[in-house]
Amino acid sequence: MNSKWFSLVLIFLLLAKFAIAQKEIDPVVENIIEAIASSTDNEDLDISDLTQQLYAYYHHPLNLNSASVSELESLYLLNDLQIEALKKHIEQFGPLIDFAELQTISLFDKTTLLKLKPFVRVSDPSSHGKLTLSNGENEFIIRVSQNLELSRGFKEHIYAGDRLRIYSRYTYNSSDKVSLTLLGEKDPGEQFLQGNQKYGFDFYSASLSFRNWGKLKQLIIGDYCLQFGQGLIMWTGYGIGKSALVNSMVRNGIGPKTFRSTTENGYFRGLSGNFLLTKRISLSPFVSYRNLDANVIANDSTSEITVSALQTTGFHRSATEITDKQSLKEFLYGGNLLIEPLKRLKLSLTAYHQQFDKLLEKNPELYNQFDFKGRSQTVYSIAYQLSLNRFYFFGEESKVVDGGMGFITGMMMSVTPKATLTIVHRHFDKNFHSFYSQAIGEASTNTNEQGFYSGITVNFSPKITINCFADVFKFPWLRYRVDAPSKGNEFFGMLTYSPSKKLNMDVRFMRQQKEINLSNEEVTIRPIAETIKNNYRFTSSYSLNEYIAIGNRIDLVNYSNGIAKPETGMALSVNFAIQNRSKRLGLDSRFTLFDTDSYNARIYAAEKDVLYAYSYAMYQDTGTRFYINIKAVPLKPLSFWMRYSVYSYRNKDELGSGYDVIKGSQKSEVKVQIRLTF
Amino acid sequence: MLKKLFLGTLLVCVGVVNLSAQNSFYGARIGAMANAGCAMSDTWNISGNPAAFNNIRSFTASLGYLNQFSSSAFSTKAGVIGFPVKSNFFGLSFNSFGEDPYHETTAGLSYGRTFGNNFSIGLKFNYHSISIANYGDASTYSVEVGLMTKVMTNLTLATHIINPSRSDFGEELQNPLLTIFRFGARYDLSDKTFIISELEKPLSNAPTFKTGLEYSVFTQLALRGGISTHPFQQYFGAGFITHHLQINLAASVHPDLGYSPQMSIGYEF
Repeated sequence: MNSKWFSLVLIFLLLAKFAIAQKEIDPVVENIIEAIASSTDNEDLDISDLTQQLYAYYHHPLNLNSASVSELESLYLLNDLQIEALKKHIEQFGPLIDFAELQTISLFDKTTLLKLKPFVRVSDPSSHGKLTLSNGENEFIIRVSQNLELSRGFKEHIYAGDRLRIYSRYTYNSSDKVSLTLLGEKDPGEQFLQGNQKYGFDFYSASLSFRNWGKLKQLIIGDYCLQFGQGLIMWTGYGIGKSALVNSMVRNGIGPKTFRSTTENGYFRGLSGNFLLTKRISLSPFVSYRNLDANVIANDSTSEITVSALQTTGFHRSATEITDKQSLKEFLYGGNLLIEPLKRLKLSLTAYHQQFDKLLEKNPELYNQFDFKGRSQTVYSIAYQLSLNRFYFFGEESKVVDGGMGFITGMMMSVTPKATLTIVHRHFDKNFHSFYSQAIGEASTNTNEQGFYSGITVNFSPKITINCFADVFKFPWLRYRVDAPSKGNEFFGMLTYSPSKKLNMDVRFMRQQKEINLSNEEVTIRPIAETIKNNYRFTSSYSLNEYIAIGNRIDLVNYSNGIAKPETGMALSVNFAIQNRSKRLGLDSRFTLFDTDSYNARIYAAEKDVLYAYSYAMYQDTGTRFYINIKAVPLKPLSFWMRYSVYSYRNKDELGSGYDVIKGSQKSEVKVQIRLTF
Repeated sequence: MLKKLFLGTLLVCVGVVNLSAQNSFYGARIGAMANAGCAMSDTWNISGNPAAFNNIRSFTASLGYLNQFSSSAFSTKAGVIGFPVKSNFFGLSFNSFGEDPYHETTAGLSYGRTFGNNFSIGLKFNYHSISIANYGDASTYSVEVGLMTKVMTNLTLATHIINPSRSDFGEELQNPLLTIFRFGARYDLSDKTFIISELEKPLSNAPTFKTGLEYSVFTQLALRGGISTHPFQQYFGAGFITHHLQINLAASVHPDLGYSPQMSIGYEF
């Protein structure tokens, strides 16, 4: 009781000194999105779910006193050490009384608190949310976009449908107990309500989810994602890998979650749930039956039908793409058992079995001979987390039945309250292969790799932060376009300087060293060469007041393989955002000038888009990029967005490749979105 | 034949010094600081960053002359006038380059607007024309946009984009009208001394880094210097300033082509 009083006194002392103003959350959200995007290196990443989640927390802040570990994880702002420290603090001193009390926890520095503030609240642990069953929230979104230039696929009528991309989604949320999502999407070139798409959209997804009904913590009927352990065998949806958020690559699987994306792959269709068996044991079973897009070929000699490759683009425009559509059936089932034998120890056992209706066999190449081949696979793993004061140990050990093994072992440590260090070792056998793995690694799949990662964040003061990581890796077997065992390393360093709440500046450096084939020509021996890519980036952002914000960014890249002439790239941009006093009308825009020698010296940049949508620009060759977003909220339940974006190249009369070829030097897109809440 | 030879030589020279149809002459004050004037409030930004001529207090006029490489064939004659209306700033600029048989002229209309003490934006419309004797004339329009922000008491950042819409002279004339991105900073060391720096990147040409310094010896006299890369050039100059009159002298040194003297005289009415 004494300590409770002590902390109370402390809080009031601090409160007088330190009041955190409500800050625009956009930069925070943007940072998280960029970290996820840069680590997945996927241009077609659908991040709407994450954006929606963060904005949902902004509108209905998470109660720190009752939030579960998985809810706190899903903010992407706290590391596991901090979450454990918070839980421990509440256990020891009782529920938090005020947000400022977090400052008494040594692992919470001012920087973290500033970022966290908009998304959380502190109130009675029993009050679980403002919404009740009778007072649910409905949201309907429709988004239509189109490229203004005709590509070859449309000109030559190779694509069956029209040029529009249409996306629509309906969600219903009632407290945190029931939620329903329905979504439909049509890509450009896909038919709508005719031909092959008689039922309208090309892609439909639906899910109904129930949460916190006594022992039933979660039940999802329909489409869902699964995230267990460190993601070594099962992690669908997004996950943070190597990025500027250096300590966020430590995973903590949150189990089943609703699928709300339009990626058209990496999800499950069926049933999954999470049940509390006893106070310390919970079970998450799952079962899924789904059609996958695959390239099916009939074997001439045996007349057996085999699958040579899975198609993950989600496009069903041309005759071949339509033939590949849903040509492979996948049946998957399994479960996860989460046990907490001790207060600070968690064990997570996962196993799943996967069955295809056709034989999966890639075209044999030297590099892929250890890849998955067959009709079925069983994978199991054990993951663990142990927190001891300033240390947090984690890992996952897994095995493919009749296949290889994969290991992840790591530790996060609070060196001082201002510095957090993470080290992770990984080892994936060359015949270890799980279709749904997404653990930390250099390669896009967790196979044939060994590596050691170390990252550190130091908050010198609320004004100056340093984030660094170093990763060394080795691929013991050949890889695609690497005809020998190879190795490499990666360094990242970022210095952030925020002299005031209005101004934020950072400089980053990244160096990637990797070995790849010197050329891709068909010759007897293709030697490998060491390539080095250096990236430098400066960004500044400044909010003049609540209504006007501007920013600049400079990117420099140089790439060399030690033999050919080094290639360089550069991009300079300025962005500008303004909104009116009522915040019902807003505009933001960015202009970029880029000049890069080649694809190797390309530069990526996250772009603002209409709400829940996400854009990632790639600057290659010489030209300019411009976009403008306009937002209007005429009535509270009704919002409109419009976006125009254009790439304009110099000295080019043809863009793209294959069916996407556009005549001319410009590629532009128009997008409109309407959102209705009731 | 002779004319062709002359034109050929001229074009080679133009290639060497990376000139385009935009002849940047920003007055002898900015010219003494490596032309890195993007983030610095100055009357001559009427022909430069349109967000950065918000220093003028009343009707102002200035004339300038640049004798590039001490050759009359590469000389620039320019003039600016500007006046403020509350937080709005209006300016007109004129720039003429070359001598017979080759002439380039640019006329500009600038508008700047300040929002409070720390932020300003600007827009500039240009009319460019080129005339080559016995070949004919060509003309086109272009726009420029600018932003300037005082992010800290002693640090100002600015962006100036020249020709973002990528207009050109059409198929007839291959003279480029470059798209240029300028990002600049001004850092005040004291009341008397400041540093300016700028990164200038023309589309498909190499970037140039420019930096300069101004030191006020006393209220009436300022000494300036600067350097730029691509090619490495040095700049120096001095300014004589009274309440109404400003006289600036400057010169730059090109490693191969030698000295380029310039001057400008301005009067604030």
